[in-house]
Amino acid sequence: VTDGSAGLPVLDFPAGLAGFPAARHFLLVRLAVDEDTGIFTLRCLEDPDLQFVVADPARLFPDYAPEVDDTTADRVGLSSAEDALLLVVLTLHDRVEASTANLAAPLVVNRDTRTGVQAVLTGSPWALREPLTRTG
Amino acid sequence: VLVLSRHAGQSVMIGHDVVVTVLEVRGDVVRIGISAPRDVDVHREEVFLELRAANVSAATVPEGALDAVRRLLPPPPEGAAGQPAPRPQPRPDRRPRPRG
Repeated sequence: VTDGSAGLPVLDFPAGLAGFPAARHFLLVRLAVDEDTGIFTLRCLEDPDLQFVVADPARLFPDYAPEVDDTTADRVGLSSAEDALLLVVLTLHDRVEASTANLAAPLVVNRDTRTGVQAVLTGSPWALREPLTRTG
Repeated sequence: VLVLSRHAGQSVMIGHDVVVTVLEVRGDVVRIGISAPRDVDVHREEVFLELRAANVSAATVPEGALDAVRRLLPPPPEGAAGQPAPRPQPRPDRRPRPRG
């Protein structure tokens, strides 16, 4: 999804994101062009001032294994978990120690259609603000 | 605020395609079923408010924070370059949420 210089992928969140109902299409841009950091910026096409920083959770949280319910999978047309791209939204602060990742509501994206939804994992043990640094 | 009385099994239409059905009333707990188009998010209010607050704070990215977070990253696992993200595991939905 993230490769290819010919065009950066545009992800579509038809329901918007909570707090940003009009923000629907986002350009997925690698943080470092030359290096696979697993961190990206999501730049909103509707609002150029709006961007999120998102991460492939595998690198930062190797134990993270969210369960996405069928209703959510259905909403983005996912019939198999293999087709899903999972991203977590980061909240960054000047002090890295204060920065967090939203593990309670990951972005679940259909790799084929590039349609996504912010899935709320109700009743899950994952935190809305999980510190990026646990060991310091 | 519009106030309506409904019996269990009865519904309310919101717009053309959102159906809210009272499924069961037991004590002070009311179970409702919501059928909505797939581009309409349905959340418990307190969950929505928390999620919105988290998203709003995430939308502010301090200058320099991106470099800081890069330095924090562990090196990529061996042979993991280009690997897709881990798979979310679908499971049966525990909460009834019929969709039209």
